[in-house]
Amino acid sequence: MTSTFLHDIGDTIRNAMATVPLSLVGWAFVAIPLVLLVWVLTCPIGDDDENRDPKQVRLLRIGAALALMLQIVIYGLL
Amino acid sequence: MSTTLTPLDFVLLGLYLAGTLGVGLWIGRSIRTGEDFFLGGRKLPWWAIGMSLVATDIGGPDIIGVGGAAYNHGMAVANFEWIGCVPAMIVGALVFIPFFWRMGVATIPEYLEKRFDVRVRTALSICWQIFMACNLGVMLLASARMMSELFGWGETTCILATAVLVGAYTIVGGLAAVVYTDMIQCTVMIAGCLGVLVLGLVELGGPTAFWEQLEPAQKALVLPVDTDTPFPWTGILFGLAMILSPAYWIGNQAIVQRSLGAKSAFQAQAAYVWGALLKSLIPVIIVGPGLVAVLLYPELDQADHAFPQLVAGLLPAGLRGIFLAAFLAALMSSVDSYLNSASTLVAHDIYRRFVAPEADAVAMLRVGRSVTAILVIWSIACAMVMARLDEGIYTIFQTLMSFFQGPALAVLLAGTLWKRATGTGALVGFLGGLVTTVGQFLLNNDAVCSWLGLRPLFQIDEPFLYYSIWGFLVAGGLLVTVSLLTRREPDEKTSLTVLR
Repeated sequence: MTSTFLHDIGDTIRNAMATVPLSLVGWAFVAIPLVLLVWVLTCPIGDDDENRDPKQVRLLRIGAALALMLQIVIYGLL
Repeated sequence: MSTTLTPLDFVLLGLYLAGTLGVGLWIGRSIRTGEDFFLGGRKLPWWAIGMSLVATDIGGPDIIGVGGAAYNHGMAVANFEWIGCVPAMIVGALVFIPFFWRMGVATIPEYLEKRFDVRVRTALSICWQIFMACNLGVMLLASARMMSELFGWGETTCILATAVLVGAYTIVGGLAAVVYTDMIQCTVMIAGCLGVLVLGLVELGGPTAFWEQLEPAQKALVLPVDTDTPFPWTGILFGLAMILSPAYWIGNQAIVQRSLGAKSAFQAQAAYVWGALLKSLIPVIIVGPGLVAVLLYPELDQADHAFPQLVAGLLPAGLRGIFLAAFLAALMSSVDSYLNSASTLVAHDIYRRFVAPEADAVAMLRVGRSVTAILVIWSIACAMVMARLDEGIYTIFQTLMSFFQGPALAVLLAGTLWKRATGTGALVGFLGGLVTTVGQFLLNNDAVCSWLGLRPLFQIDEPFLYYSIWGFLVAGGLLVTVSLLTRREPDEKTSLTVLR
């Protein structure tokens, strides 16, 4: 069984990824929803919609933040 | 492994099926136009759409298959419902879904023609149509096999009964019937699976005792690169969370279509957020039972028997009927959605675009219903043919989606976010990405590798997550390069079709 340059590229990437500590990866899984949470709480929502009700914007933010906080708790605990 | 059903189980099952069919047909009475049929008249509420999103995503085979994967590989399979769904749904809700809703399109390929040109629209639409047509057969067959195994019914009977039942209310009621029956199905599915989980936990002495009995490896969500499961962290993070999940929640017609039928942009957004909240619960009810089965029945010969074994061993008469209803609910909610979305793609991207551009609303309704009926017959035939084919071919169909999801996401992201992306760049990128993923699949196939004398390209068994990463990267690279080498699209075209 021979290899091609595609196999070499794959092996190089796999070996590099294998050196990343699993604990660091675990934090990355927490960081993704955390970064999104900050974005959800600060991003403009519906600014281009003249009919948008501020209460609706608030509800969307709360719902989205809750979904992301659940993810942070899940990946933080497990 | 067959589960014995009592008359009470059959009564409950019959009530559920009659109720679903009745709701679907009742909604069908008010369908008058193509827009009613394909987009529910743009009157669908967020709470129904959100539950429909979840029900569509979880098919009958998923309940059995995910439970089985949890039995074999532990909690890591829950990543598909958590990091593999929720972040993409939230970004979709706040950025992409209101944008598509305001564009007033019926299909995602229709948006791509407004942004690029008819070549890009047709290429993506045809890929989706081929995938959905094959997938309908796959879903019917996979479900029929599960039902046949679980309840001892004939495979052909299961295929015909499911197709006729789902086809009847989808042909009559269109998207609105799909969404409202999905809502019922989502409730039944969650209740049925939750019942299995609770009884399993009681048998094990409660949630704390259950958790303490699990091995650390069974509780791990993040697995190393060299894991012997299909879920290494690199595939989950880069393939699932960053490529397949956004492609699915932002670009899958069967998913996005129901939000395009929302009453307002806000309702479309709220549906996605509600769906994301529900999604956080799903692993508890479908992964949890798989883990319970590891502790209660550690010697099962096949992992996919985990859920059926729990049903047979824990549920008393009557509750088995509820679980069967939950299983059928999960199956029907996926088949009806793909039927409706496939007919929408054919009617809008082929019939109205190339055959009859002047077709009125009533003609579109007629076409939608006719195409749905043809698809029902097609899916029955497809399922029956596949039942006689080699298992490998059946598996190939399941990999189709991973072939074009990465390239499709690259085209969609470039279209919505980058003004300089051109139609030619998008087409070359998409086709190049497709060639890449199909090429990788071939270079990983045992027969091809042994013929060429090469070792397989990937080291894990089912490297679908990796196909999507490379497909996305190659498509994106080609798209950027060719776009920069070709004439930019006129401002009047990009001013309304690119996010600001």
